Amino acid sequence: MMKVLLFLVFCLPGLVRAEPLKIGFVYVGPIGNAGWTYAHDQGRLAVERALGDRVRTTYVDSVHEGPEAERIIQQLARSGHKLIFTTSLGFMNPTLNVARQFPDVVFEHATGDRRARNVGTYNARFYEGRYLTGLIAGKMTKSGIIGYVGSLPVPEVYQGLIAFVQGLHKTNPKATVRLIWINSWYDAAKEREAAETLIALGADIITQHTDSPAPVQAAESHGIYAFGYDSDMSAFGPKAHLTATIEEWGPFYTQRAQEVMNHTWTSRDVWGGLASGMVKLAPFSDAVPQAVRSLVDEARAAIISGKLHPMTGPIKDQKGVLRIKKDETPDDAALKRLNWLPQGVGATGG
Amino acid sequence: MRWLRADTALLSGLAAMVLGALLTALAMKMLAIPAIETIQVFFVDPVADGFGRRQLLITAAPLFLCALGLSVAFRGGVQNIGADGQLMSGAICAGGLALAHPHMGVLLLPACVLAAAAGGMLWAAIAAALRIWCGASELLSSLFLVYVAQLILTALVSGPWREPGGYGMETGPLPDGAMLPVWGGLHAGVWLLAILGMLWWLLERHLVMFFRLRVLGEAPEAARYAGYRSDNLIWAAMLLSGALAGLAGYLQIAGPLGRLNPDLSSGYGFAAIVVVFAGQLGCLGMALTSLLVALLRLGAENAQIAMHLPQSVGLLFQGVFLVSFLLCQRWVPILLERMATMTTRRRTAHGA
Repeated sequence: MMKVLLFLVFCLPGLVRAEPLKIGFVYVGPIGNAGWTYAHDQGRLAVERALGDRVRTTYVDSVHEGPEAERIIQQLARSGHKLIFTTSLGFMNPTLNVARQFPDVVFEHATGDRRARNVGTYNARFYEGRYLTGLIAGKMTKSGIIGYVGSLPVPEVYQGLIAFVQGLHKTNPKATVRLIWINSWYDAAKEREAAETLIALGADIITQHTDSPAPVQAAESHGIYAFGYDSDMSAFGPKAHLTATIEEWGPFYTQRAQEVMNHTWTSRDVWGGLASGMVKLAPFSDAVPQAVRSLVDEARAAIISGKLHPMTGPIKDQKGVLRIKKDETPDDAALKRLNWLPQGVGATGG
Repeated sequence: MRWLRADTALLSGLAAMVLGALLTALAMKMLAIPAIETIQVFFVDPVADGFGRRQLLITAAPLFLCALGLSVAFRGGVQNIGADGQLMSGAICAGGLALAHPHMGVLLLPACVLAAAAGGMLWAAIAAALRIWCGASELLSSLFLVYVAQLILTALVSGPWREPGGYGMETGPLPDGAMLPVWGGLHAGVWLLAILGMLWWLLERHLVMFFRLRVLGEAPEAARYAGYRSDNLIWAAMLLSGALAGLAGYLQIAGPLGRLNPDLSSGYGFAAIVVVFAGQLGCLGMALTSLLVALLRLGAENAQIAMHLPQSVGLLFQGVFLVSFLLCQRWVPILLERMATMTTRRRTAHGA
């Protein structure tokens, strides 16, 4: 009897107050970039708010996708983190390598497509938001030229371009997109330069697939419009910022953390969009007319209900080759392999 | 630039460490960061276990290798600050060879080593040629060539060399025959570099070319009178530093990275310049400084994980130490001279 009581007295508190789950986040850019990394960090903060002292989060930012990436992921795994989110495509192989050495740690890799028993992947269908901003751009451009500050030639960026052009041509079949690759996810100076060049080429709406608010700022200083990306960038361009495609990672992160705590986690590929709330549009600015807002709301509802896919064929590439047939839509595997520019994107620079 | 005598350099190095420590303590006070914990997290914890110590050596190796070559160049007044581009060029040549001929057998590794050196030499040769044939400053041309090399690397790994079936900006894994063998947890590059370092230290003062380059750098007129062909010396300096930087690139891809991607250089070509200037003692000083710079990098990463310190704090510390080294190298010899003059005056005054 005494032994049972002693057991309860000493062990019960431990059983009730379990060790907090240590969650690691590996970011490719700085958390203050108002873009991709900022959005992930907001997700991390949401996890802390939702789960309180049952979790302890750590983040490492501005990690280059070189040899140090693997070292840092390894260090997180070695220091007791049991759930690690690696938030850039270039972290794929480092994540897999470390996952092999630490089979009892769960890894979630953003934008990748290779999984393992303890590695899951996740992504958001930004292209759904891009389609909606394309609709707006078509209605609100006067010069018919949209400037696109592109980052790196990877499928996610091509998805955004194709969907954007589809939306653009739905409301303005003659409009064109001028694209500049800056060969980086985040470089405020280059992004600004690219935006200025596009404006000089006649663009009167700027959009971007890069991580800083510099293009929005450039648009503001020239008195034209812009779409932000990854977060609501209206603070950087109150008159220019029409809306932005933003993502909300918090609910997904919280869910995965809870699964790990309950030992119900399994390796999955999660690709959420407008329907699951992972992708959203930032609030419209006053400059967006009611007619356009209604159009966007209709399209948004259609996408959520599954009636509309932003990349429904026929879609030709820049060279005129038919890539997506009439009424066909690319499946997820095809989306992850996209590597061509659609017709409507003018001569590319960069 | 003037190179210091060994004892002066040692004193200035120690003074720099003290100054650096004081300045970082001041910075930490201003940023309200706990000092003792930070020092431990930065300098002690990363090397507290075997794994950390191995990581330190693996991280320091490419730095040291680049620095050896650069020290020869800088000594001769040849300002090769484009080692990063030469590093990438070496990695491209070696990686390209390995990916194109994965089944070469035992010849693959030595062939890759030669290709890496050749790639680095080729890239450095462009800057050397521009200097010798056009009078263009090698400082500017080697620096701009870094950006060119980066663009070529990015274009290759996201285009023709991209991993088949992959969609990121990287090649597939290098064939096993091209990867450096691992001995005792460290890849062969680290072991061989240790041997190279010792040989360098022994032979440094005895190699004629190094001597001639020193004369060229410190007293160009004397070199002219002695009949040294400065053009040949400049070629030699650039090609040697380029070759070693290219080899450092190979160490990166055949060691911790295992493939090519745009970030393979990790800025080592530029960090090596810090190592050269801070490690004024020559080979030994540069070896120690490589370890210090590598430790600062590992420490900054550890500080992010353990103390949630932002990455910029790590960069701040690295910058503070560099500035301390440069300041002390400038002022410590002058202070020592002043002190020596004052002592001599006092002695003469007493003697008279």
